[in-house]
Amino acid sequence: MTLRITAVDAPPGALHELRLEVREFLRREIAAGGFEPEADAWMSGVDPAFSRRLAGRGWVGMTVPARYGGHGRSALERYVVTEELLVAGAPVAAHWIADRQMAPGILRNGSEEQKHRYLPGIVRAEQFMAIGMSEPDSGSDLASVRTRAVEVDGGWRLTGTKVWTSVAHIATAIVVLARTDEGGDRHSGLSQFIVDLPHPAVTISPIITIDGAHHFNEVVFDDAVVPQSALLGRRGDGWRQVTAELGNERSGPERFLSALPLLLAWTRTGAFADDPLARADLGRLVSRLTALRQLSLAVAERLSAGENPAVEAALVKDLGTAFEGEMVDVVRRHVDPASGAVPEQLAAMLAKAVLHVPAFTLRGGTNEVLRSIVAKGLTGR
Amino acid sequence: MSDHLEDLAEAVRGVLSSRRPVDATAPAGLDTALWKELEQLGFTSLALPEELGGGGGTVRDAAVLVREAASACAAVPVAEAAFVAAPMLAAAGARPPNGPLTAAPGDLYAEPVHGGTWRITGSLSRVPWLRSAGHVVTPVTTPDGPAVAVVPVGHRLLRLVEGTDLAGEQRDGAVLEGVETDQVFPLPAGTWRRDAELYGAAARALQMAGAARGVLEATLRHVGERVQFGRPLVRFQAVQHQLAALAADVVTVEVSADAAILALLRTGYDRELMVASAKAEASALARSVAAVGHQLHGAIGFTMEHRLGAYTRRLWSWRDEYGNELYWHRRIAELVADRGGDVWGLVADADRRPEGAQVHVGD
Ligand SMILES: Cc1cc2nc3c(=O)[nH]c(=O)nc-3n(C[C@H](O)[C@H](O)[C@H](O)COP(=O)(O)OP(=O)(O)OC[C@H]3O[C@@H](n4cnc5c(N)ncnc54)[C@H](O)[C@@H]3O)c2cc1C
Repeated sequence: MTLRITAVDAPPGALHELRLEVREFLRREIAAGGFEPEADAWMSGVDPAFSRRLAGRGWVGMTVPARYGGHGRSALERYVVTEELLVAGAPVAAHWIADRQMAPGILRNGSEEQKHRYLPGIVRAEQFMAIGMSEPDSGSDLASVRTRAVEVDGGWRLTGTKVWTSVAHIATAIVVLARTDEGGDRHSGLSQFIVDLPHPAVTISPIITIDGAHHFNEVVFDDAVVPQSALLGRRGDGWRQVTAELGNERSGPERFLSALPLLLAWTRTGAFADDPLARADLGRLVSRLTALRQLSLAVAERLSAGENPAVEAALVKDLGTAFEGEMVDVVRRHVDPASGAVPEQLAAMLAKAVLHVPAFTLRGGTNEVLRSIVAKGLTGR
Repeated sequence: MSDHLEDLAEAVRGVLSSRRPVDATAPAGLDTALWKELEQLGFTSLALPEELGGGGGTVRDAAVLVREAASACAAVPVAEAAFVAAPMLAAAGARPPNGPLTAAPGDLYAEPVHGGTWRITGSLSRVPWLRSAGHVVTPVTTPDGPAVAVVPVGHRLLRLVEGTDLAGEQRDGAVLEGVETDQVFPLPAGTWRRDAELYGAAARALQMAGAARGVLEATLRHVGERVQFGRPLVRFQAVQHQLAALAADVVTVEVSADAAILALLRTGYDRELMVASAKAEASALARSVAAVGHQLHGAIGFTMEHRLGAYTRRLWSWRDEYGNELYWHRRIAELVADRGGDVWGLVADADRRPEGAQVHVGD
């Protein structure tokens, strides 16, 4: 394969009206105390009420077709809204996963009944969803998952443990990758299930991250019985479905914009203006930001054209997540809290961002795994 | 890419196919036979309007030519002709002369003497293929404003200062001590020197994209063929991860160069940011692209007999021309400062004039 990505021929000002509308909404939210901008808020900013206000504006489940309660907007329109939410540091974590990957996954693989059951709720920000992929002994080697689903009378019985499950504690459903069949190669025999939460045989316990916060969880399935209709897509097709889902999970602007609220908080102080070193560092970040955004837009366009640009998405996520970490570090170098001249809000944002950096290159598939995917794509091995 | 651009690339590749580098040796000089062939096919004046004898193409067409020529390490100043000379000639309504043509922004002054003749003084530095070209196109200042001059290189009052770059390509300076010519054409008011720099930087970014792709292709082939410890190098994970990083850098250079061309085509306010980013990324990534290419080739890639050096030597030369990364990083910081620190407005709304923003006038 000759890995090629072509820049999208869309002026950056396309959809400018929509962009301005979202900005104005966010400006008013901040002015009214609706939220406080934070870096990486797409992971840590859980605020169901905010999610619903956003849904009220039609900005959740934007690409879901109208017949499932959605807004039938284009992927590019969703991309614009997503960018503005990330840049403003808005608390979008509650609905993020449902909007980003579960709605597309259900649209691709779900039954009519599942589409009607889940999509309207996602669009209204009433259904929040979690990803049940990783397990204590299955991280990068996702195909080794041990959670089992056994067919029982009228449904399936799930047994196993999922970990690092973001937002499971507020989710109304979790999409679980489980082994349904043995034999064959290890990528076959996996299936996905949508499990409604809370469930009497599912225990969700917090796992506290190094910033002292509760983002993710351990989710234990103790012979949890779910109806036949919980199977998402085809039995044994789980690996293919999950791979397509990762295309959505890995390609979005949150893979290079997580730290942008921090950068903006710094540049808006104007402190860089008279410092030649700061100017050079800032120019470097903005140069890269500009380039990575072009890459991300190009992948988003391929995705919206119905392709599965998994290799390209992996490449862009590898670059973007490394860049986000660098951005935090550059701002840290130029913002010295000991100087006493740093606004409190900026100092707090920086402290939190520093504690989040390690997650950037782990969540959604580690950068080492991403590089292996790219190399495979390049060499066809 | 559209069919039209794909066809164009195919046609250019056809002309260049016999000239691809087989090793890293410096070119003997400007490839005048190749220039002639490209000229006869209309490629060297591709982006000039038809009224001026050009092909009536856009900067996007010119970009295809420039990138392909760079991939073949062709020893012809097509980047200078298509990106630096063409926009000025088109704006002035001047026809290009026949024969090899180079171009560069310099520091030149032209004053009218008599009967339509001008006398040009000043200097040019590190102009590609200057000593082998018939003419050099350059912006000049006249008592009445900006103009473009088509300077005959062989003029007795043009003193050449010969030099070469890291790839062994000619980069010559010139001192003009009153060169007389009637080939001076007034330009409408504008920032011509700055524009020539912008277009030159975009051209170098494209050329670097072509050369970077050359490094990736050579490296992919090498690690698939070279066997150590009983298997091809590509089977080692450490090698695979280096390859992935290389590909990511190459794609970054390519996409930002593409995006810069699209921005020039739209002539929006984002063109400065997009070109700055394209050249800064290309210049900054030249180091890692060349480093990985050489590391994975081992000693053979360090020799004159291997073609890897043809690409890496050009990357090392081109990264410093028309502004290195630090130069463009600083320019970008200026753009951010002009917007009061609003980085996001600059990046996302860059084709719209910011409210209350300063607009650069003059050079
Ligand atoms: C903040 C956060 C939120 C998350 N949210 C979710 C979620 O909602 N749902 C979910 O299912 N999961 C979630 N995850 C889990 C995430 O997907 C995993 O952390 C990731 O896939 C890596 O698995 P691991 O942590 O077990 O590390 P391991 O796989 O054990 O990897 C440890 C190290 O070894 C390297 N490594 C592993 N295999 C190879 C190899 N073959 N070659 C080279 N290097 C290798 C890795 O790159 C890494 O550097 C989340 C993680 C984080 C940090």
